[in-house]
Amino acid sequence: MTMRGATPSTPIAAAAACLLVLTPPGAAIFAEKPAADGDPTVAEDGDDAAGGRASRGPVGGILGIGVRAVFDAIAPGARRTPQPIPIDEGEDGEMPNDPARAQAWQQRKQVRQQAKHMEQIFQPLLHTELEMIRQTCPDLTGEARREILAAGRAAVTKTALEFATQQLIGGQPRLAVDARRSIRVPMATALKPHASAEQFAAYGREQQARHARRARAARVAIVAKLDRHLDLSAAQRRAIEEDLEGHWEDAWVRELDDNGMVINGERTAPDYAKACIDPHLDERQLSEWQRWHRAAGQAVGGFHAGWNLDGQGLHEPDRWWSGEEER
Amino acid sequence: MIRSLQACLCAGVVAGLPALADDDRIVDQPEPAVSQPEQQHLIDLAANFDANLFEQQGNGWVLRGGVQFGNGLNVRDRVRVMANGRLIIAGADASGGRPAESPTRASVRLLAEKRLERIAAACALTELQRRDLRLAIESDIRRCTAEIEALRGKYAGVRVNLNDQEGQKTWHQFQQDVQHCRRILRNVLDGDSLFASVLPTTLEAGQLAGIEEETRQRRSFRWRVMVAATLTRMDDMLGLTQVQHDVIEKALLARDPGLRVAELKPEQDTTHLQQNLVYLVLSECEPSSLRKAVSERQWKSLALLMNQGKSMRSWIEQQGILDQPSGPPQR
Repeated sequence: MTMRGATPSTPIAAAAACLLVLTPPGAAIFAEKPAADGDPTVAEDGDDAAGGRASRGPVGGILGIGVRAVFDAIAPGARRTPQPIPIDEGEDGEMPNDPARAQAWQQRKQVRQQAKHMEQIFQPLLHTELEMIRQTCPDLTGEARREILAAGRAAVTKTALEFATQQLIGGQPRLAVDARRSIRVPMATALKPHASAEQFAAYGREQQARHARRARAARVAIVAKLDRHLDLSAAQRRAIEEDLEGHWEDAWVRELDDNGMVINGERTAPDYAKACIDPHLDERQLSEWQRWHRAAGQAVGGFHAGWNLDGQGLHEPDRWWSGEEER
Repeated sequence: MIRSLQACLCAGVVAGLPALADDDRIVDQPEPAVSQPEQQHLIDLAANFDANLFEQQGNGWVLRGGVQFGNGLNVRDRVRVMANGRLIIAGADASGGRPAESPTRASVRLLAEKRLERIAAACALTELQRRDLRLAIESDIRRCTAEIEALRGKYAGVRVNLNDQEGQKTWHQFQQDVQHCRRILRNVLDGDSLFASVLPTTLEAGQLAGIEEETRQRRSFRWRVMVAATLTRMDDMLGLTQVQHDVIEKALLARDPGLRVAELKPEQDTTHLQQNLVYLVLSECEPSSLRKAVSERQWKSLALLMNQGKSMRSWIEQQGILDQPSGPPQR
């Protein structure tokens, strides 16, 4: 099998793309939003204000659970859960004399080095979240802003460390690191006590709207890819888009991360949404669709990045956040 | 007893044979100079010509070693084309054996067939109309194939080493020739082609309207897809609110750049190209309403993106994703 991706446009993107290729394939299967515990933008009825109604189970569904159960029974030790690495590097201490512990110590240092690099890649996510908070909650005091900024920076550090840990010693994790969420949630938590109820609700609505926009963009991206390959009619395009909307799963936003990846000489097929596609194809299209997703289904090589890999965005430090500028 | 001793001695001698004393390593004669074949650097340009012209997405470049399948066919013999949901494999006859005609012609015919099938789906062609259009297509294919084959023939059996200057020079010329062939291919049924001139006279007004409508819908859909995808990137970069998003989206959707939908090549509009096209179109929108909608911080970044798109205008236009004024391809 050959896999080829589009050429990343920046060195940061290139580095991130390399890391993505290293992501264990199993991680992609579970790379959806975890339960919204701890997210203050989640409404009481279970709707994730920042994420719509997420499907709570793993993407693999019952089959996925079954496969994991079989896998665990055969090789119970194979799925390691890496020990979390403390944020404070000082806790690592001196390198131990014991060879086994020294090896673990060195591995930890490698993870930290990688995490430093990832922190740079995650910066645009932080700036985006800060901007959104500033726009929806303009009345924050200087102290509150500094607190939120500190929470955001700590979240970036922690997320980078988790990501690097998973990359380098991760084994087969139950859930891939969702960088977008793990930076947003601590910031929202820090924001809540400082923002008025009205402004915090506005912030939640914006998060929800952004999430809905991503889902809509992913839906049309899926249809566009099918259209390229299967020459859909306008009616088929509409029908598939509606079907996708009616049965939407959050994990399907992964389509937005497809930057031209090719498997076996073909663009990856959005086979995860098969049930919404099959009924709308004619016999000839169906036959080609089946061949295509067998050859280049995303389940084969799929991964889910979920953040801005280009590194472009709001780079200039916003002095408002450090409390130097009032409005 | 003696026999046992002899056996032990023999065994000892045999066992000791492979052992080398230190002085056995004195001789350090260099191996006779054998010329190392530089296979890893040699690129078969004939095979790459087909791969880059018929298979490569976008206007990028792919480098392959000398790809030959067991039956002596080239990579192009595996080109797959979907024509209205029907899979056709180029370059093979019904039995899947050797191609019955020039591989270039077979590939171009398949791509043209896709166009014809799309037209048929949009306006229900009669058999007579279909025959007439096919005849026009055949004529255009012959013309285009002759041009492509002439350039392709330059590279038959040519293998270059990209590590030497001469090889790089040949590769550069090769790229120019493939790029020219891409333009020929893109325009084979457009502009001054026989097909383009015959189509309006062969079809009824209602049928032409059907094709126009189908094209309009597909073009509008593709633009919507590009705008939606790029706006999610901008969401990530700028932290847009819904109102800001709507202002930008409305401005973009109102300016349809005239995407080319009758492509005769594999997918050309890569993500990078799509984003820059959207930034370019955004740079042509009325700036005051955009500026008013976003914050000063967002505007700084947005202006950078728009400038990026603007600076790439000529590159974007060269990629062939926009409908161009008709005319012969320029070298």
